[in-house]
Amino acid sequence: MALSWRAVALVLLGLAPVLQWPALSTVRWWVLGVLVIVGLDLLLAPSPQTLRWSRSADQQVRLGEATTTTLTVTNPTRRRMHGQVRDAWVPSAGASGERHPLAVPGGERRRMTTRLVPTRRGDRRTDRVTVRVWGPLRVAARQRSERVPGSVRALPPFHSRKHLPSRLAQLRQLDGRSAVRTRGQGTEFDSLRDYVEGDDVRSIDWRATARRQHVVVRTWQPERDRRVILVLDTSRTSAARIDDQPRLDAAMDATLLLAALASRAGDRIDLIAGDRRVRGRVTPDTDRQALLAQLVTAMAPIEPVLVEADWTLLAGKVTGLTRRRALVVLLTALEPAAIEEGLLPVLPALTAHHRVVVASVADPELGRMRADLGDLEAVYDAAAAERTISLRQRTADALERMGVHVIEADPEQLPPQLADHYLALKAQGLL
Amino acid sequence: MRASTGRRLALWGVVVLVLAVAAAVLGGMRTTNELPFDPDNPEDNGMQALARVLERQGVEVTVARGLPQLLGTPVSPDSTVLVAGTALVGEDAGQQLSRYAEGAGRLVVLSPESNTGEVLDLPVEGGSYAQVGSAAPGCEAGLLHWRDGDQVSGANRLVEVTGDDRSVVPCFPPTPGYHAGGAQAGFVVELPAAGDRPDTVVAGIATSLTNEHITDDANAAAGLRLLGAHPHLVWYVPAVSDAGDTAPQSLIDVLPEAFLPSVVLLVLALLATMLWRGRRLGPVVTEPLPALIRSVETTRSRSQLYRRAQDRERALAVLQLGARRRLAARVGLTRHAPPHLVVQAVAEATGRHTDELHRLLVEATAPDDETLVRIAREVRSLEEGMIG
Repeated sequence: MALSWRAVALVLLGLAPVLQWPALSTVRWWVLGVLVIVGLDLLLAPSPQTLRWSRSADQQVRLGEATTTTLTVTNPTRRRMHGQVRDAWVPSAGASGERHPLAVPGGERRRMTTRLVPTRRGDRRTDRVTVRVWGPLRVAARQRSERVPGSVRALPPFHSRKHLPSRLAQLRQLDGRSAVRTRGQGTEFDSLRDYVEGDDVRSIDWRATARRQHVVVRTWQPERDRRVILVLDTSRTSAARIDDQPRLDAAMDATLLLAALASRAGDRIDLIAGDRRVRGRVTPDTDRQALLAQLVTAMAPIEPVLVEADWTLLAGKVTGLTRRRALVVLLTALEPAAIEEGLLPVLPALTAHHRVVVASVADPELGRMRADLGDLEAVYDAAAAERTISLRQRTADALERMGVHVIEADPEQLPPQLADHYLALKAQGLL
Repeated sequence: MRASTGRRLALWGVVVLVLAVAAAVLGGMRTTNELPFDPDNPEDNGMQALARVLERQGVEVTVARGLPQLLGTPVSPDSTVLVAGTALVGEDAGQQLSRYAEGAGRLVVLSPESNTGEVLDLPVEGGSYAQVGSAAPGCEAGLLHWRDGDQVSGANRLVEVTGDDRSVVPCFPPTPGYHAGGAQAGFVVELPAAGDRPDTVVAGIATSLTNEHITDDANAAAGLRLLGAHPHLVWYVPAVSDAGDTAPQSLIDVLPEAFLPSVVLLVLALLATMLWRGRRLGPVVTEPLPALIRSVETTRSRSQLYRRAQDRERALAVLQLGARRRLAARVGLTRHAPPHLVVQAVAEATGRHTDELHRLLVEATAPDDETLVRIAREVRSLEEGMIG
């Protein structure tokens, strides 16, 4: 039930009879009359239960961009319905204009569109649809809330895509159009061409040179169809907030840039996201265009979980994927305790078969703390930051000794650095 | 679920407790009575002591606060009517009081003001007088049969007899020889019954009978003699409303007739407004918030740990170690090079003295906070000088 301003006005109108017949009984009778009117209006109001609802298909939108959702209401009765509708969403769905006027003649349907600008990654759900239908006098209304399920999926924003064109240009230089001069493990023979000054003398093909009258060199094509396995750690260390976003979101950004680059380079991408169990998984598809979409869709609903990562499980998943040598990128945090107890024991099994890179999102706040020597408190902060950094460095050293390359950078810097490392490996044919 | 039920119970407990305390405080406030010369006032200026003693002596004390209450109290020839002060008694109230007292055996007027003679039609006038020492009765054949030992002290008003009625007996002159010059005044003036008027005593010894002074001299005896003659005592404490000329009215009587119904209607309209505005269009939606921890939280805690322990040496050692490692990389050594090698190499690179560099980079001693900050900054400037 709900009242309108008309009900208040009706009560106030009673002032006239009260001034005419000043007695408490006048008030009593007037209020009784108003109650009767309100009750009648309620009784005569059409039931909101008869309305039929449906919602447009679930939307996907990149975080920070806008989308809309459409609610369709059908009035199967023969009476016209007047009122209000509120299409409630969770606050992080960023719904605006969620209140709609309702005016549906009998037997007709109307559509209501709500604009959504999600403020947080993941699946943002609807709450209830509340409808208020006025009685014929519009003094009182019947109200009812109903669930009309729906959600909007806010995809990772992929801010680092601005780095993609420059990295792709580097890739093109590597890729066939200019021959790779050095020979690596994974390079493949491409063609023979005349020697030009500056070419590596080791790449001269003496047999071909003997057949011709001038020096000929072999060119090598960068390796293709290598596997890149991205392991996204969603455990407690990924929940830490760095510059107003969780570490996980920054790691996803790096994942997307590397995946976009590697898929253009002709490599096959696998994604495993998990902590104590696997939370998301993407296996390579023949369709490379769809890969990025597949990745963002898989990553969108993943939230950090406050448990320790089970690296035995994750490493087992990686080794189960392929017997061939692959590039394994572990996106985790250089948290000494978590790494030393969880990752280090299982690392030898990985490094034996694969090239392993650990990419960690550093906190720029730590650097700021170390730089500030403003007062006594700041000096202690700086000392603590120095200690944290040196502990992380020690962990990184331990990893390096096991043959793992460690990249630690700020959220902004990590994606391009990881991409550059990939390109360097590719150029040297070390994949 | 059980926890929330327990919390709700606790909340209700607190609410009940607060209400009980509030009620107790309000009740306590209501019982304190601070009217002067009031029989229920236990303070210094009250007369509860006298009233209680009279009750114990078998006198039935009826308190009437305000004229309407007094007029509603039955009166008979074996009752005494006490007027506790006439400052608040108006002319109209005085006439009604006189008419009421006609049925009584005795009228006692305590603390007479200058208006007493006028409002009660008595040939007396009260004036302010601060008594020093005590006064003897100085009269014997009066209504109250005073005796020589009845010394009274602390009287506050002197009653002067106006007119030349010989039957009026002034007692308790301020000084023993006061009446010699023909002055007709005393702290207590007795007026025998005349016409409709009963025996009347006008007594300026109200302060002598208060809780504070009742035990001085023979004040208590004087009080009992004044008020204890009859088995009933009507104790009239004038109220503010008795001073006016018009009959007292309540606020409701003054306001227009339509006021109360209009207010009721407006309150109902307010209720309707609350229902209109307060009804939400659907419930509040809650956000399932993720658990997010600030990444530098542990580092901040570590800093607090150093600070709380005042571990300056450790803080400094950590800063120096970091600086040493960066400088070692700068001068072409490995990061884990021994300290003296780093100091040596840095000294060669910068031209600074080895001892000074040793103090900056190796010796972790900071006797006080200022030194810690100073050395930390020197280390930083050395580092920046080399790297930048």
